[in-house]
Amino acid sequence: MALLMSVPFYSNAQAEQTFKPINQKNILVTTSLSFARYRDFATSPLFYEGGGTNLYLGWQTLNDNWELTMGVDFLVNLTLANTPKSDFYEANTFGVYSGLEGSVSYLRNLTPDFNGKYDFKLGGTLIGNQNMRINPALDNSTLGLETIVNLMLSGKVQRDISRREETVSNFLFLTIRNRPVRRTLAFQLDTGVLSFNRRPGYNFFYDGPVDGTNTTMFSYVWDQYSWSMNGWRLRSKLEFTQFSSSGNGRRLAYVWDAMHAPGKHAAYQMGIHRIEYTILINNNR
Amino acid sequence: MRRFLTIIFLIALFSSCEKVLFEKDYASSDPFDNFEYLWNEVDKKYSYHDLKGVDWDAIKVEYKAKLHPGMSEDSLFNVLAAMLNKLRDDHVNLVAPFNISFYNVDLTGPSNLDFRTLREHYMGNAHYTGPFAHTFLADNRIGYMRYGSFTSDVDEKVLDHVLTRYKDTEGLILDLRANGGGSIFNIPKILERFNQQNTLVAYTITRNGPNKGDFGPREPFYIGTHNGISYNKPVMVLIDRASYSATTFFALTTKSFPNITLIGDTTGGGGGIPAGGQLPNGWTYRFSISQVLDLNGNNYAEEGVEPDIAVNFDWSDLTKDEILERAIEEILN
Repeated sequence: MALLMSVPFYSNAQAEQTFKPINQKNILVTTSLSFARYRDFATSPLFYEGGGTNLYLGWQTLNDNWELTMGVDFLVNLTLANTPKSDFYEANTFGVYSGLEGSVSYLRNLTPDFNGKYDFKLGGTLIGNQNMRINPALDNSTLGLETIVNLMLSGKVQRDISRREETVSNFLFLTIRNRPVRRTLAFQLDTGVLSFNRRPGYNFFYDGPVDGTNTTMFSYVWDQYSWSMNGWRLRSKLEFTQFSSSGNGRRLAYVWDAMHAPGKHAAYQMGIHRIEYTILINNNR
Repeated sequence: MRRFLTIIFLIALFSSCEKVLFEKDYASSDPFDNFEYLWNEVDKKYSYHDLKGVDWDAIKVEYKAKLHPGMSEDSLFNVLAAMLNKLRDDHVNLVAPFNISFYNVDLTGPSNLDFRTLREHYMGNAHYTGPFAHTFLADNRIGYMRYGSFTSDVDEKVLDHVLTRYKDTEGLILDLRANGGGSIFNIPKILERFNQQNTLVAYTITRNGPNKGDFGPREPFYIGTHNGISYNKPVMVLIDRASYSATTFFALTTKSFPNITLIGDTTGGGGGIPAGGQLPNGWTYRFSISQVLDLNGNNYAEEGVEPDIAVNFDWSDLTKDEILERAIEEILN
């Protein structure tokens, strides 16, 4: 990311480019490499950690005054229990984490100065996650489910790092012409204001729903789940975006998302780190 | 350069941030940590403390004294497994990568099934359809079905085929001896084929609090009816001490069916549903968190369901299966 932002070997400058005010309606397609770490105290005191990926499809309305982003994210990670080392016979249990996340974010620009270098934005984000975890070593407790919903206060600072003049770089025998390009570097922090979660009852699952005529797996695990309003969530995003002259763009981002959902009886905790690559398709040309 | 360093700093900051925010990492190979964790989990969640009549607090004192710092994993496993086996429950198991603990409740009674006798003298022409081995007995007057494990899912097409094959017989024998259990979802699939009306057969209760008597409300367990192929003649269900878990549940529910008779020995028990968990050292365990009750609210099924007709296998004559013979006799007479 740092390499992309640095522009070496300036040799001369051309006339300065004037960009139009931003007014875009973007389709967002994101994928990532991710690292997840989670722990469900209802079944294990151990962290499960491992890599994975995601696919996000979203819609964004973006202008100089505000931005609205909404989308659906599907995440999957393969994890291993973080067990203590053993010189006798080390226990290894694996899990699969998958999650569906829906989010809506609205940010208002507090400093709508088109020529300014910095934008400060403030707003809110609503995120809902439905997690499904599989841990075959846990016998009848193999299936883990949690629903987590957070209303978050969102702040974003954005730095315009556009190249406004054409430059020419010389590298060995090559002459590279660098055209003006719109680029931004932004950091967003979402802090949970209201946190809700739906977690299991006292025991991880419940015998009652298996009544002989209602034997679906989901009723088996869902019936004793209940909502709680507790816990916290923090999410930060450092993103570098580069737009082409057509308004399309691409984005590299590092996202950290951490949540703590105590429920009524046993907490669920999770942190995800993602290196994301996003394509922005502008539908407002 | 300053920008670059800032980015690196932020990445480093957040890549370990949740560890600071979460509670400490409880992973531990310390014998005392693992002992305490397991003892507490059983204390807080196991569903049959009262029925087993075990003083769980005294057991803690007894087995904690066997721990010492630096003890081998094998020794720790033996201590924890011995502690769990005090509950006399095969739904209580400790699973390490190198061993699994069992109580072996089937060994508390006589063995009542000899597969060689069954195959050599009764099942010469058996068909194998899905999880069932089945054949005609007594000059085609009786159908015999052996269901070896409730872990094998019962398919509707399989049941249609098997019950159609024996539709003209005078009675059916369902052999559940040495069936160690599995999915209770298979219980209604089978029993609804022998049932004429929606029938309340049992209740279940699940532990829902830290006190050993804390349970949620009684939840009814019904067996419905089947719209397709069913069998309404006498059914003899063969059971023994190795009929465990879902098989015990099945045996208990048959008490509500006048056309079903249990023959053999008392089942092994295991009426509750086990839940799994994991210790700080990565080993896993399971134990029952619920109870199955008969229609009068009794939880005796955990210790076994008695047969309606008690018969034992005679090991001095391996040409005959006395339990199966008695079932044939009951149908034909």
